[in-house]
Amino acid sequence: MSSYFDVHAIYRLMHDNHIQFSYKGPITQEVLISLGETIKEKLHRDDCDAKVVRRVFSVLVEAAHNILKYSTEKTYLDESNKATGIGLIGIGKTEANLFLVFSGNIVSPEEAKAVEEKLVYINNLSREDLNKNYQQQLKQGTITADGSAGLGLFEVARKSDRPMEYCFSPLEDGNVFFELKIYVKVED
Amino acid sequence: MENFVIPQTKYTPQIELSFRDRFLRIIGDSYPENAMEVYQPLITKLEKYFSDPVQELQIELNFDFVSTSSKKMLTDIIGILQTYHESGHKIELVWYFPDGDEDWQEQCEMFLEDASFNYRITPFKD
Repeated sequence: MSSYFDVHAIYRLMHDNHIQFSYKGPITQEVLISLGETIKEKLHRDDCDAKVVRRVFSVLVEAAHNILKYSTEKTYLDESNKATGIGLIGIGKTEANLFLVFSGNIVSPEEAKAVEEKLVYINNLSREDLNKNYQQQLKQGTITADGSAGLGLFEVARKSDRPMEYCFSPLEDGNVFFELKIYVKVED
Repeated sequence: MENFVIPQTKYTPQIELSFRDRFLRIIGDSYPENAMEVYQPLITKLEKYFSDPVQELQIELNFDFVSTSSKKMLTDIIGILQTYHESGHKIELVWYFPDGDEDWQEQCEMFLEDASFNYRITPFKD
């Protein structure tokens, strides 16, 4: 049997890059809960500091909620008529003292532009200004009916120890593939 | 008035507002897709609770993991409580944070920065 789909290649790619797990599909709340519980359990078992577990989990949740809300690829899973975004999300340990949380999903060109502007803005902030911006958004920002508070990327940046890495790749249909990589340090 | 209770789930906290015993307790994780749906009913109940001219409320908050949209709702709730306090209601709040987690301690201080009612931020040991 021949096939273009090479499972072994995916396995090797993940293995060689020290990816602990990865998921592609609709990012439902249930998926998020089970990913979250898996990662919490694993990190606790590895004697990872509870604060670091919370940081990694925090980045995972914000990345997942972004996919769920902003991915242009959507599916309808239940009768509530609410669309769930499709995307890729995962966690790896690229270096001994560094966790990688990554996500990838398709967004509209307008969304890509807005996210990129925000990423550039946040990456250029000092730690102090980042906290100030976050606090200001927390206090003066508004939350939309679908529960978006505009805080996700600020929080992600606060939990990570390096600038957020991102890439936008234009697709043939006019949409854009958005990938995000966040690094969380194991110890202070 | 009956007590207002929302049971805990894996991603939402237990919320309990006791009209009889005058306490509000929120305990657990909070990372629902839409935090507005979770906390708006509580805000509505708080309006009812404080419709009496002078009320007392003892508040206990204890979270492990909270997503940003939940943090936004909690910030708004603290602001609402501050308004009730300024109009003469008596509010006392204890915020338990996971022991040893300075991210959480800092977050609590941020939440309560503008509050002038009595509050304590206390480490919680499992």
